[in-house]
Amino acid sequence: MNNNILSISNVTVKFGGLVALNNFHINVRQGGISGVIGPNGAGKTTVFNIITGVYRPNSGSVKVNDKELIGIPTHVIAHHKVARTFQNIRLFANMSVCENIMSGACIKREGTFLSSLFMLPNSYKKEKELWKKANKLLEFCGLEKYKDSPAISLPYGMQRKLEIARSLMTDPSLLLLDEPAAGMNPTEKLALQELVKRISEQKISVLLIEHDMRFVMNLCENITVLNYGSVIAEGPPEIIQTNHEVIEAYLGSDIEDDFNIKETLNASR
Amino acid sequence: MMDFLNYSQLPFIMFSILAIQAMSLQLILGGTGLLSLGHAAFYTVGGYTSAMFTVFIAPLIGIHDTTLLLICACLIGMTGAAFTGLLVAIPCLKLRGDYLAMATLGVGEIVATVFKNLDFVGGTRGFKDIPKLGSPLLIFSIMLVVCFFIIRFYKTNLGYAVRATRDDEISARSLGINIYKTKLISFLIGSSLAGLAGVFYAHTLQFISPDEAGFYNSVVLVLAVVIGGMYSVMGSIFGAFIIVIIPEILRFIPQLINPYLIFMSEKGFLLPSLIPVIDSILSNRTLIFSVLVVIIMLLNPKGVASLFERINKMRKTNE
Ligand SMILES: Nc1ncnc2c1ncn2[C@@H]1O[C@H](COP(=O)(O)OP(=O)(O)O)[C@@H](O)[C@H]1O
Ligand SMILES: [Mg+2]
Repeated sequence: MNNNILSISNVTVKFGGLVALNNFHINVRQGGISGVIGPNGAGKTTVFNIITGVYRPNSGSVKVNDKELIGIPTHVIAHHKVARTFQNIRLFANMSVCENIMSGACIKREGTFLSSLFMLPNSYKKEKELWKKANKLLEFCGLEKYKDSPAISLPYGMQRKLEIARSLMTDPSLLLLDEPAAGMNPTEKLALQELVKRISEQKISVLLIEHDMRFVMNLCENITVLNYGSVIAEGPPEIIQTNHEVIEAYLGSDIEDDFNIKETLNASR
Repeated sequence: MMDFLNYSQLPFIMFSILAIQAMSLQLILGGTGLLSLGHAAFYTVGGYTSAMFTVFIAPLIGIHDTTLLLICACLIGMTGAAFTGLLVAIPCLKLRGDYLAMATLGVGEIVATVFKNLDFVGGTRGFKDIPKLGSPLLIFSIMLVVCFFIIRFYKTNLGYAVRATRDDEISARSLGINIYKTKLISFLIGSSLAGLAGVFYAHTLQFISPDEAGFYNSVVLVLAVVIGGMYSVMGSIFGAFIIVIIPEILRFIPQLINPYLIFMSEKGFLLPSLIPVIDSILSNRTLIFSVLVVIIMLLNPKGVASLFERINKMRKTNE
């Protein structure tokens, strides 16, 4: 028995001839915040996709709470208290903000179909509790103001937060955030940073993918760096910041985030 | 007055039945996002199975009480339709969007062909002399019950699962929703409700023809749902209302317009030889009807339901 909520070992994923992940491994401590960074196309999203069962790896093992997840369909993995958000926001476009969040409670309400159809007291009570929880989450993520608006009418940053709120509604113990700060301005990023911290305080372990180095360095206790599907470095932020290979991997690409890492490096000197 | 009642009774019944059908399709099309182009098939199967029961089986087992007979007919019609729905759904629901539409397109024709070749239910001539059961008021109440049922359905866990599946399958899965099961349940409920509409159709008109399962009826149903607004159950009722009422209104239009045409041709604005042409265009109800539908869709692609939403919004901002 160890205190890792997630441990992935020896995972290899191939798409045809392309090796998206090569002998990948990562451990996420119970209650901790860890990060995966790397240039575009490095295989970060693929990591999330194998944890949630969207793809089946060619080899390796994915364990959440010491339970092997490989081969289990995506919708069952949610029952193992794993929740995620998506890099390209995937909200329920024709539902209101509230309804989006309530959709996260589907597993909580399983088996109550008939009783909630006829509004029987026990399911009525349960639904009321869930609505209370949804309202709390609205407040928690700063979305009260948008409560009844259609989900897609929200500003971009708010849509990302709504996706987080929706995934929190499933009561996860492991939350996977795929580039949660992408497209946000610095103020929004700071607010999001606080939000992630507060989520982690609720005994929810977080694994996040992010390009913004300051965001990652501030939040994560452990960082795994991917390049072309292979782990090129791992460890606490201080070590990653000074790792030569990491800097090279980032300088080799021409994404705007290069500036972020230089800035962080300068700041740390 | 009695005249009007007599005249309006049939459209009223047809409206209620069409509304039940449209709502049952709304669940599948607007609620779950599955484009089924064979929905009329389930309704026909519902009508035929219940009629077969009341004509052939009920006298054998000695059910004579009409209430009991109607309840049994409804249950059997719904089961028959749901069973057909299951047969269609199991292979077809694995298909995506357009392919599902293509696959369901064939279902109506298959059902029509099957009933055309069953001689004991009248073959191509249709099933005649079905006992009369139910009243217009009963059908209308059933329509209200179905409407209420679907509205409540959307508030249950399954309702949320269905809508989540419609909007984003990948997200829905990641939230723990079994999308195949969800689609299957929605398809089953939708087809059994269509079967219910079929039962009332067969037992009020006392006749059902295999052609009911054809493509045209399925398209009319899709229209009813789309006119009213895909995502609204009430909208489907409104769509059904439009579809039944517009042809009835159009019936009078040539008579109303004819005097003006004659007046205009007397003044020399119009060639007298054009009058019969215009007359025949105006009395072609299907044509006028189709044009109207196109106009409605162009003006308001989200259907009539979005108008209500807009009015609500205006009210809110005024407050
Ligand atoms: N379903 C797929 N089929 C084929 N190739 C894929 C698929 N998903 C991802 N890839 C490839 O795998 C590599 C890693 O992708 P991804 O994990 O999305 O990268 P990122 O680190 O930017 O999130 C990319 O080269 C991508 O093109
Ligand atoms: Mg990615």
